[in-house]
Amino acid sequence: MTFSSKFLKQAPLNQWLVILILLVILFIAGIPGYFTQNWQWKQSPPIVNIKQIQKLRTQNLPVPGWKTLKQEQFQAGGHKWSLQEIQKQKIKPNSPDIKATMLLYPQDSPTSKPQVEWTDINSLTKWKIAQYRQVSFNVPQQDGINTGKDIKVKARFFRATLDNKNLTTYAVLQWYAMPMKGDPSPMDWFLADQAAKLRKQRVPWVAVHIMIPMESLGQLEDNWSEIKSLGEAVQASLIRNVFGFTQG
Amino acid sequence: MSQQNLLNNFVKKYQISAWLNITILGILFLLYAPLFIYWLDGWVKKSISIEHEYFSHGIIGIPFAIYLAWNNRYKWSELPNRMNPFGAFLLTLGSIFYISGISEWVNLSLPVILTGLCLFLKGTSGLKLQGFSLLLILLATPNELPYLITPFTLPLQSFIAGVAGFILSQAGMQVAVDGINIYVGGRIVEVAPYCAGLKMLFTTFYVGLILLYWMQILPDRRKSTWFLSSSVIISVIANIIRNTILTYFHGSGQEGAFKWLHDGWGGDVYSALMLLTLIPVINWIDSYFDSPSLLPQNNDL
Repeated sequence: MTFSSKFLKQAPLNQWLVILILLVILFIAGIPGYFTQNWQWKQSPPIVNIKQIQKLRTQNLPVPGWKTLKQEQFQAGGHKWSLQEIQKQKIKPNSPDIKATMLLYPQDSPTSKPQVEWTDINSLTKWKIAQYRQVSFNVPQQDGINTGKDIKVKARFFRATLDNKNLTTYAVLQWYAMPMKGDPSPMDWFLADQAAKLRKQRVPWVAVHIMIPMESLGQLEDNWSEIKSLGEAVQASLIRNVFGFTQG
Repeated sequence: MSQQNLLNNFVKKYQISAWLNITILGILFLLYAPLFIYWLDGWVKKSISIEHEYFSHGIIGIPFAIYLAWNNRYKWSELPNRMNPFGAFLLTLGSIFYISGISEWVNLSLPVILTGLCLFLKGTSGLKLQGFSLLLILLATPNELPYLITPFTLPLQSFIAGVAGFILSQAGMQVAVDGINIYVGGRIVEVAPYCAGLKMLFTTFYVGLILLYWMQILPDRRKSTWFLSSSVIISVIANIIRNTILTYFHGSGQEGAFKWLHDGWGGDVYSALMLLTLIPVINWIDSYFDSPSLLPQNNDL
């Protein structure tokens, strides 16, 4: 008898606790949803500067120290990219011409995610990739956002050789640019975006592909300092002119 | 305390317990009905995202899970009350997920809270009793996994492109395959990550699980393994055939037919037909492994 009376007294305790927990959720997150008919989970926080990001497809991205020769749109993997040919401004009149190509795929909409952009480019160009490695560089922050904190960019770096008579070869640098960092992996963006959603924010992104011509079948390493400084300039410009637009 | 008092007391407690259970179900309904309607709307109208559509088998799976759990209600009430501390942990975690308001986490809160509920009220025996329902709900809860695995489906895409190209060239068409691209009749068909057939594979697996449960074969490990493996193979083959037909339509300029099979209801009909083939397969496997002629002569089995 002692057992059964004890059991009877205990019986509903866990049920009461469950009701308590569920009521807490209901009052914090359920009732407000019913009253406003505006369930938070139906809509992600907005990307504040989405208009500015989308403009990138039809507008030049200014790159300090480089001038734009031409800008046009092209299609890769079902997405519209911007193609921008740039040329390095000469310090001395007799220094050699350095040209570069910059491909940018800014996110189409607040819901679009980075996916297989690098594969899309590869299957479009059908080039041969060699000396692939992951690199990183830092972009010092001078103005506005994240003052004083360097922005770290991780990127894919490789030599790409076209299948033509001259074996045209490029040094290529690819990454997803975000306001506070850069990384070539969609997973990295996903985690950053989830964390931002907790603060009712989002992480916008732009797929960046830059390439400079190099000696056919040459050493990739010889081109690192040149493409690194261009990469820094591009990431800094994206932060200043695109991501930081509304905060500025 | 007399026997009569004890009995009265018991009945009273039992009634209280029943009312508490109804209250729990009521609050769960209030919390999750809007979410389920939203999921359903997204599955029917294909209006939320491609990732969300990967879980459209929830249209049948979730009502079936609720039906099974409801059928278990007497067994449930007979189980002794056991508070498993892991249940408390899951309930807290699920609550945080729900309150976060982030859609991915709110979705996940459903299986987490339901599992926590089973453990917290009836311990591991409660979890075992409702295990299959919980599994059906977990596998139908929309999440971002289909997005996260896209970078890894490339080998599967190349394989599909290769086989589709081979079949079409055997049929006498001029075909070239390069990685995930099939060149046919001067046009390019790209086998994109979402064409890799993972959605169909996932749906087949899910429907296969329900079929196994329905026919009460699930406890038989050998039959279940055979059936699930063959349904995976059927799904992969069906997807290769689908991609081949799509490439044929595109290559021969039949854009209407391509759209119908690719985006329209043709794709749904194709999946439904493939799922129907699972029924003869499960029947065959069920009877094949039962037929006495196959049993070894010594009575080891």
